[in-house]
Amino acid sequence: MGGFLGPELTTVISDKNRGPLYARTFLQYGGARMPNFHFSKEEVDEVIAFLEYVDTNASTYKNNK
Amino acid sequence: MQALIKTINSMDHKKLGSLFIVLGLSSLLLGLFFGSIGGLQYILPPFLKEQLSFQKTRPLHVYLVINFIFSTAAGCIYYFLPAATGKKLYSLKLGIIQFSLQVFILLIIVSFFFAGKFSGREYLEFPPWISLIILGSWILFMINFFKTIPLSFNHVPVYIWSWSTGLIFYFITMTEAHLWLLPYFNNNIVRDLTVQWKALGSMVGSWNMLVYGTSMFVMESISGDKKINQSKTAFFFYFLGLTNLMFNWGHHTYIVPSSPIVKEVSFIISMTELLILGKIIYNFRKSYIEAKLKFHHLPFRLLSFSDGWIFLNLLLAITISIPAINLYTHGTHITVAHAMGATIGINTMLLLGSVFFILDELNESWMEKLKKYFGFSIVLLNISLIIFWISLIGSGIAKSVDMQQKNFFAVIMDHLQPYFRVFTFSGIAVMLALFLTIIPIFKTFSKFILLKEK
Repeated sequence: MGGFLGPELTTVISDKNRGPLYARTFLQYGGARMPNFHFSKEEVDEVIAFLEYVDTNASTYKNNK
Repeated sequence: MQALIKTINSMDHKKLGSLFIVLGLSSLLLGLFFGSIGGLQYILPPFLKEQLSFQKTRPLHVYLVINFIFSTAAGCIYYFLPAATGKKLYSLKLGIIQFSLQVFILLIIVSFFFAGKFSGREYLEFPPWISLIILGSWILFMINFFKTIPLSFNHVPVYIWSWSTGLIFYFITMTEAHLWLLPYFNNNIVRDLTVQWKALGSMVGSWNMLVYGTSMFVMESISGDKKINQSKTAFFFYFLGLTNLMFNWGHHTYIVPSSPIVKEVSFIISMTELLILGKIIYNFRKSYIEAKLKFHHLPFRLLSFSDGWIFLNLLLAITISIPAINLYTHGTHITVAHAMGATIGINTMLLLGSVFFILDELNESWMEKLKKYFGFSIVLLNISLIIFWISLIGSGIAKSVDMQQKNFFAVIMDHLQPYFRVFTFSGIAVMLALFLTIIPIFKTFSKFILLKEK
């Protein structure tokens, strides 16, 4: 998958330079371009769980990288 | 209130069609406005970041522009249908209810987007229950259309087939796009993605059927040559388009595991469709030159511009549909260039061509007076669009190179700034050119809609 205004997130969890803590920080506080969505802790956990699930399915993309 | 009742009482199919066209064109102007804000957010990230972030401006832009295509195409169909079939429109009341529902849907979706309430699905970001109202209003449109056209499809011109297919397949694909609500699809990301892109790819095919059908009717009316839409070439094109509508999704899902044969076949079919459409318009131009029908100058000019965009888009589509190239261009602005070339360059030019054809009929002297003005705004639109289109491709190539060098996203975004500036300002110029073109059109349509007599 790809990102236009934000980065590609399919493999953010297994990416050595990013990982779950990096994703969690952005979800909690936003970034230069991403607004702070004021997610609750449960909502952040759910998004992280989804990204973990997507990452496990991204074998084709990882092989192409 | 009394004025409203008088307007409804004096309604006929042409006024009903005009209402839909005004709704469609208003939607386009609003969509362009939010698109331009979205563009500015690329070069000024803090701009309205908390109040109207890109997460809101993008769905607002996408929904409003798609609504423009569907509403304007529906308006043209209502306007042309009795002339195309030789029969009276089945029910004006159904048409008015459909129009009222469409206004309601527009207001409710825009309100939800402003409030930040989304479904989480790309392109259909509004809460899924709204789709039930959309499908309900579409059923009214289908009843009105199918009750108006002749019962037998023998010797029926190709545009009636095209409109019929577009109507049916929009209903099917819109339903299909909601299969994610079922756990069987939602619990498997690969299945979910495949079905989503299949549905959305075919949905584009369904609106193309509505738009192409409308421009085919206009071509026939301008040239007076009924053979164009009864010819074998026209039907060959129609059946290719139909196959395209059902199988063109393959090239949207190169990175999702699915059969390569489906992808190869769908790629060849969709490319052929564009070539054939170009050929039909080219043939029409030849007969036009022979007939020297200078009166219909502006619709002809718009159809000719769409001809040029078809070929540019064809070149780009062929390039990015090659899997080895798609691997690098996927997720870059080259895909956006493809979408913008098709929706602005082809669909908008064709729809505006039909709208100008109607305006010629409604107010001939006014159109004659403003011919130079519209000629200028249309040229400005096309010049801005070509700069916009090239800058998107440039941005895509630059991003692809940066990605190969495994640069961080922030670094890539920094390198792309010059391209973002060009596409934002040329995008604003596209918006201004369309504002210049559309604002005067409203005046003629509102005068016509408010006429007391039928």
